[in-house]
Amino acid sequence: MRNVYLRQIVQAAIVLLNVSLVVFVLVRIVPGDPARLMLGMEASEDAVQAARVQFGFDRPLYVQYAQFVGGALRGDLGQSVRFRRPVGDLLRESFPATLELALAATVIALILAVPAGIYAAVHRDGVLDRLLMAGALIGQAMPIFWLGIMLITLFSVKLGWLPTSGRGSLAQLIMPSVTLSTYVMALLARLTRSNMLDVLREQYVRTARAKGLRETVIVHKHALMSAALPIVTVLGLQVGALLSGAVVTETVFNWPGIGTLALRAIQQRDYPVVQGVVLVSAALFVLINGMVDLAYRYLDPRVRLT
Amino acid sequence: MSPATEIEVAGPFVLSEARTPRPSVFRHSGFLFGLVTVSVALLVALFPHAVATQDPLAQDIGNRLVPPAWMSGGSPQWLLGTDHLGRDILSRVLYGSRVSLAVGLWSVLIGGPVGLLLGLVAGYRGGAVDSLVMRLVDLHLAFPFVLLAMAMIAILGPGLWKMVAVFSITSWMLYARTVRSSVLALREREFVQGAWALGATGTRIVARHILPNVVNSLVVLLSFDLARIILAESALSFLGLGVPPPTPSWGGMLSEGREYIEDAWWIAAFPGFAIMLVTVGVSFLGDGLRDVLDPRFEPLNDRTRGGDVGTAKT
Repeated sequence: MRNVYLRQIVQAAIVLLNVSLVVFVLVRIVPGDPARLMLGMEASEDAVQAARVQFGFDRPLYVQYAQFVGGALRGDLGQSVRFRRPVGDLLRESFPATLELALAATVIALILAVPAGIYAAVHRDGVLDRLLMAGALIGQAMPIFWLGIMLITLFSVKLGWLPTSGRGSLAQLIMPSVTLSTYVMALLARLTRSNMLDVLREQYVRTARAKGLRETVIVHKHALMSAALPIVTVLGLQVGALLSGAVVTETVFNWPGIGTLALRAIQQRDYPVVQGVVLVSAALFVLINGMVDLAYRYLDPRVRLT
Repeated sequence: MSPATEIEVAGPFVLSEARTPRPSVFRHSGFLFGLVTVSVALLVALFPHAVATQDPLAQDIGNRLVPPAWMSGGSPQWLLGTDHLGRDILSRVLYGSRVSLAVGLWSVLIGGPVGLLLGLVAGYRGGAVDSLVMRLVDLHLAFPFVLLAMAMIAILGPGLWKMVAVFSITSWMLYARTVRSSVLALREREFVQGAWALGATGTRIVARHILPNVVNSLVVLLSFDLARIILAESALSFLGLGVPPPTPSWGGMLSEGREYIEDAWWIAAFPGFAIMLVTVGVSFLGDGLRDVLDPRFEPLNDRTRGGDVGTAKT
């Protein structure tokens, strides 16, 4: 058992090391002098030379990489060029906002999608099933930033019910989190439905029916328990999609999270920040999927036995 | 019941099953809808000047922010209204299809064969190619996709072909992964084993026996992925990392429209409908192709089926 944990940690470490390598190479294949690009054409040659030394661009690549990884392990992700502050501090300030948004979106998706999927499976081919699945299809085909803009048009501009942007109050959280939840919600609804359909055909569900159990008990206790497992895994895999979605959602609603930070850093060629955001997001993704695997082991007795 | 009756009952049943033809694509309403939508979109993208009533770049400041024709203040001259520079929205939406479809199709057409080739080699030969492909796939799965694409565009600079490069580089891994897992399963099947026992070479086995069984699911996967890439392209264009203005792109129009939602919702609304229509059409096409070509295909990740849970199997 301990062996399994150890292997998982080693695998995660290897993936993260590769991520750091890709990020590092990516930032350094920029054509031209990175120091010059960061400071702009107007900067003096002295300033550029100083930046070259400060960010270590004058040292050999393998030294730069070793310093980057060594620093990252100690929690030091370097200095932001624009803000003149440690990248770690900027990330610490932006991450809570993104986490809040992603968490709210996940909760909304779960609360709405799982019951919808169960209902659709139980009432298969009914009117509501068809409507729900058509809705899910559109939800997956819709650019979420477009939905965000349309929500603003309707609820802020036309009706004046909700604020257009910013973070702080619950009212400001509503539209961004609904926007971000759409894609995951649509995916979860379809997945719950198809898993429930599979599970409802299983022998033990038939046995439960034969025992004369009430249909609600069968659906919610017997079927949902095993249909829930893949949902956990998919949620874990959607962390990447949630983070990607957060970038555009945050832009639409001026939400001060890592998406906004990343976009600004990219526009301003603030490479240390770009590096930090990608590395930390990848670490988060690997961490959450590791936890999902562990949760799986706990939830699924078949996996636990092996 | 006499044995004769039994035979009589069993006879026609077996025959009729054997005679059941493959379901025709043209009976599949979703596929038809997808096919029509995608064909129309392709025709518009190829010949936008034939349908657009105006030059998508022509500015007319005197007639800026004109609402759609059916609203008060609208004019039939601009069916879907005009934007902040007085450009015709309808013409811009029609011309905007070019960017979305070009980026989507080229990315799939480049990423598809690369993924197919590497997936075949990785699955059949194993070894170094296999471990390399699988490590890249692990890596790819660990990146939030839009962030990675943003970082790459930031470095390469914006532009249509750069977006194609970013999407092909990131998508072939998923195709290779899918092809590889089908090859691994096919390799153990009797007809492949039989061909091998008869002395067929590796190339011949892959080309004659494995490839035909993999191509269908790849086509289905590519059509689903086309929808994903079109959405991702619109997101990049929306963030200002796509094709630079004034070239009309749906994501770019949305981003311009966002500045004017207080006065002119139509600038942002219609390109969004266009993206949705094309994405739904492509997904329906994929659904139809799956039902006809590859009924066992499951577009979701194989982990969702609870089969392969990381290290749990061992």
